[in-house]
Amino acid sequence: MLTVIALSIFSLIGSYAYLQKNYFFSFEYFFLFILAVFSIAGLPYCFDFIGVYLFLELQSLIFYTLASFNRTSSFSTEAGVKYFIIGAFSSGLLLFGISLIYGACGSLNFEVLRVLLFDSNFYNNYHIILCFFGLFLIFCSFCFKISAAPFHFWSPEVYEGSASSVSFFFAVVPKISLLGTLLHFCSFAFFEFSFFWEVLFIIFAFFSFSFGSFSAVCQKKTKKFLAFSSVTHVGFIIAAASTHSFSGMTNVFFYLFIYSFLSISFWSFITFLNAQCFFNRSSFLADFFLVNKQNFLLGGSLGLVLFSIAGIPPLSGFGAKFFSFISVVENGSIFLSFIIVLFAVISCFYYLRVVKWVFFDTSYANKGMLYQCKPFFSISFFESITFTSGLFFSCFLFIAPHFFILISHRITLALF
Amino acid sequence: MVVEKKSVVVFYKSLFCFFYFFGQMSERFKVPVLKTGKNNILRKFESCFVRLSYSMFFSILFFPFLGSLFAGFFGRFVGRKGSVFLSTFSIFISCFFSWFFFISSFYSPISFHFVLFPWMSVSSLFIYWGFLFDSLTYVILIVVTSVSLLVHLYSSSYIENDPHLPRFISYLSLFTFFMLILITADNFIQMFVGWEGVGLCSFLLINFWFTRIQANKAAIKAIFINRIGDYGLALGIFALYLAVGSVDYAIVFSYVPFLVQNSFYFFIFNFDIVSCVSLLIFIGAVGKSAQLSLHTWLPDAIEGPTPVSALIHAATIVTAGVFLLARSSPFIEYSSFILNVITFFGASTALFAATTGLLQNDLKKVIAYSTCSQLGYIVFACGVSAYHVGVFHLANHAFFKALLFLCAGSVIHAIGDEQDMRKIGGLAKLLPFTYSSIVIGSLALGGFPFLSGFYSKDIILENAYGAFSSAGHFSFFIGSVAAFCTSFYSIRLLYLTFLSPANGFKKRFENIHESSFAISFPLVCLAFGSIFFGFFIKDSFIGLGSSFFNQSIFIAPFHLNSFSGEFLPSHIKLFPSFMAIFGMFSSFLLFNLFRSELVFFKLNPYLRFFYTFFNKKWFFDKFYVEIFGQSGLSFAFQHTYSLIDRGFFEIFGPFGISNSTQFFSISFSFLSSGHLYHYLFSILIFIFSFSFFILSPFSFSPIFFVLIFFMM
Repeated sequence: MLTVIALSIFSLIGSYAYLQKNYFFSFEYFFLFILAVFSIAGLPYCFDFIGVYLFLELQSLIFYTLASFNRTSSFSTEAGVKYFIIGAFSSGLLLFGISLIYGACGSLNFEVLRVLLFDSNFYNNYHIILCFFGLFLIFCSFCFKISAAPFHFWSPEVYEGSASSVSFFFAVVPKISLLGTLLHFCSFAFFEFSFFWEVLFIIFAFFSFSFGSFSAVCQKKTKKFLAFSSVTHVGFIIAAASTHSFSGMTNVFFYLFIYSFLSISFWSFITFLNAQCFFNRSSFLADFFLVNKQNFLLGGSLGLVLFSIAGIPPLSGFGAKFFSFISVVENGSIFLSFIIVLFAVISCFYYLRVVKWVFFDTSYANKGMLYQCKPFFSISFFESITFTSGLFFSCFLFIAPHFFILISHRITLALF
Repeated sequence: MVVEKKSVVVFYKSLFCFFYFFGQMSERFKVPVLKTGKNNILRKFESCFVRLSYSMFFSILFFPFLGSLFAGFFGRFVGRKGSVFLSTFSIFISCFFSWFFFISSFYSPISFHFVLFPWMSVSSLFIYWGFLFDSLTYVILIVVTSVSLLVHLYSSSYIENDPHLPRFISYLSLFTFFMLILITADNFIQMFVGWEGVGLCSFLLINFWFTRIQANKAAIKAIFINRIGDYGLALGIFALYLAVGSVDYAIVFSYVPFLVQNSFYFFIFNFDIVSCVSLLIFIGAVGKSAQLSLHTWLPDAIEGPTPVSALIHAATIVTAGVFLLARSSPFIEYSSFILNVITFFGASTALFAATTGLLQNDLKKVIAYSTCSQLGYIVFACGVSAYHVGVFHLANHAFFKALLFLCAGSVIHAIGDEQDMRKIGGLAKLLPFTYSSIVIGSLALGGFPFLSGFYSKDIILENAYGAFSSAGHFSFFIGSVAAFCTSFYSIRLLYLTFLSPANGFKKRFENIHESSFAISFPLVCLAFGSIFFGFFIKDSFIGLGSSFFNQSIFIAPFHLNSFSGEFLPSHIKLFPSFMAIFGMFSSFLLFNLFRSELVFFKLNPYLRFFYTFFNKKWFFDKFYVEIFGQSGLSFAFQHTYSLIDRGFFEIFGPFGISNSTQFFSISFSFLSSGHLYHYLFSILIFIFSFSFFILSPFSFSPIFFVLIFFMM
């Protein structure tokens, strides 16, 4: 079981996202938002697959609505429809997997499954194939939800299409709960199948690395870029999860915390840049260029955040990547760790390129963009709190990470 | 010069801080102080004395370092004279304390061992900054600090006109510091720090006039060839750690008897541990002490300023290898085979360098080859287990060789940078003081009776004969022949430079003058050292049963050759001296009476072969350059550089990754087309292919078909 602490963290993050200045106000939005937080927070408490399915479905339905919330924008509605169709497909997969497992084992309770799968007689049966296949399908569905490749296709579209605050919410909040649930039933109910789902994790991690980083390299739109980079991050996370060791699981949650903080700061930057400019700035990555010239503090902190995400040593992003890498190395998977290093280099490249745009690039053609924005714009109190807290954690968490390591430790203890 | 005074005050302040600091640190050592009852005042006095002695030990070490820092980093502020004064004064303090401990060790040869603080601790490897002061250390200490002091003084006048004088002085002091680290270390790793440090400073000093291409080449050659020896020494230390599990002298040397007859795998071959490690340590010594095969850097190193040649390449750096051999004597003594190897190498070096020195034309090169030859003597003394005799000769040699080099510097300084002996000549009447000093140095070098070289060199040869082994006899006869050659070329040098009719240009001789006090004073000191040092010190160093080197040098009982050396027949004992004097007379007569016949050497084709062979240094350089240098360079360029480094690693490394990233990113961006059916199709393809992969072991089962059916 995930602890109450984790729940409070979710709501905290949720409230941060809530505080973002949105440019559409309606009471349904907040209602849906709180419902989504409820579904996300309740998900890890489920102890059988029916509950998992119900909470996931609730969450997905709210997300479809949120994605298409900006009714007047055709992009938003398109994103909502796409998300809905692909999400329905994945729900189908999930249900099919659950029913296969029920067919094989006759129960959906995690405890019962655990006890049943410990029985060695079970392995002589054909039921095992059904179990494998069912687990695989559930895996696919969850990877869809956390946007791990090759099921990540929805995420760039949806992030790009829906409103910034909504995609902020999508990017930051649900991953930790979903991964917690996934790891929970993997390491609790399907403990005996670890040889199988470890391989699955490795394969998905490999796909996520390659799809995420290769696509992000030539991506020009900001939100799509962020979606692909989050795919890469998910790759790192599930690579750490593939170790099936206690430290590996702890590092998964530690990575998730740091990833959440980094996303908070970066996404909040995007939202208030969006709100302040005359037209929709920050839809292209190139729009970031020379932010430093306009506002030195803002540019400098953006640079710090980007360095942290890229994994430059004294910052927290490095700590997360390093721990994930260490747990893989401790597990002895040399090939996987080699691939991690390779893709860490590539992912480093495209963040540093953004840093270069922010600070140094004077050769870019659309210099006029610089003058279309207000040279100095005020940032509201809540925005600044969100941004700076994210910045603070993302920069300095490497120095004193004990609190979050402790939380990750407790979450991991609750998994088994 | 207000600035200078201020800096001097700062220096003194730092000096006192230094004393205070080490006094405080010594509180923490918890060294047992002799109990003196309840008399508190006396105890306090005693602890004060102990503190003072600690301060003295550490000021020996760190004053050169301080002087180097001051001259190097603050040379601009303290000025030329200021930096020279500060660093010379630092060396003087260090020298004073060294002599203090050296002389006190005659009365009570105690060794001191300090452990300051940990340096590295990695699993079972503990390395501390520790310092060991014993008799061997004292001897080398006085040699290093005295010669260094005199050379500091000398170079203040010798390169007076060079704009980089503070830098030069700083290098000299830094070199002295590293040398002191080398000889006071209590473990092999710290010793290696000093070892590498002196190599570095040697490079910097040879290359001091860095605009001269010859100096560049010589410096690179020196550090490159030393690197081969360092490689051997480093391997030796690793092997030692592998075998013993520690690098501390105390632990390693007390553990050696248990290692005898044990073997280990070194580079897939099975070796006796003691022999293998001794051989590797000896390779290090070969590099540093310029023994045959790695000697080529030493004669070329004369391209540096002459004080450098005197300090580094005559008195100190080349003794590092010998010091290493003497220090690790408890180890080497257990391997008779390696001792024979050392003897053989040393004797060959002595003969080779002496014969080469016969026909060199460069003034400094003759002296450099004689250094090489004397080092050969010292090394084969170590090879026949007469380490104390070797160290004795080392100390004597440091004095007279430094004297010779400094005299050569004086000559070169006087005559306007002319080094070719054939173009000098006739200086005896013009430079009488330098002439008399160089005569003293040459006679001491040649082993003229009752000068310092006589005592040590003859004892070395006696010990070699007294070993009564084939290696010992071999080295005895080789050494005697080398003694003949040594005195021959010493007199030849004297004759060509000072006695022969003047051969140089008139301009050069017009402005000739004796050098200043700062140059002459070191010559006087060293001349006294060359005359008297051997006589005064011989009883304590090599006297039969002397306990001077009580624990610092270990000689296995079955290798104790001093006794048999003492009771050799007279004609054997007198043979080397006879050879030396014979060499002197023959050289003198040859050059005085038969000068016109010397042309015959070059005209006769057979004799000309010998002339060329010796003059070209037995073709060692040619051999190395053409066999190793050329092939190594071509291999490095064609294979390791262009094929592996620029080829393989570039294609599979940075360039490959960046190119493939571009390719993949473009092709992956086609995947995210924006069409819903593409996405769904790719997901389905993945699920099908993967499920086929999972279920392939069960492919004939009906359930598989059922599943596929459902999926469709």
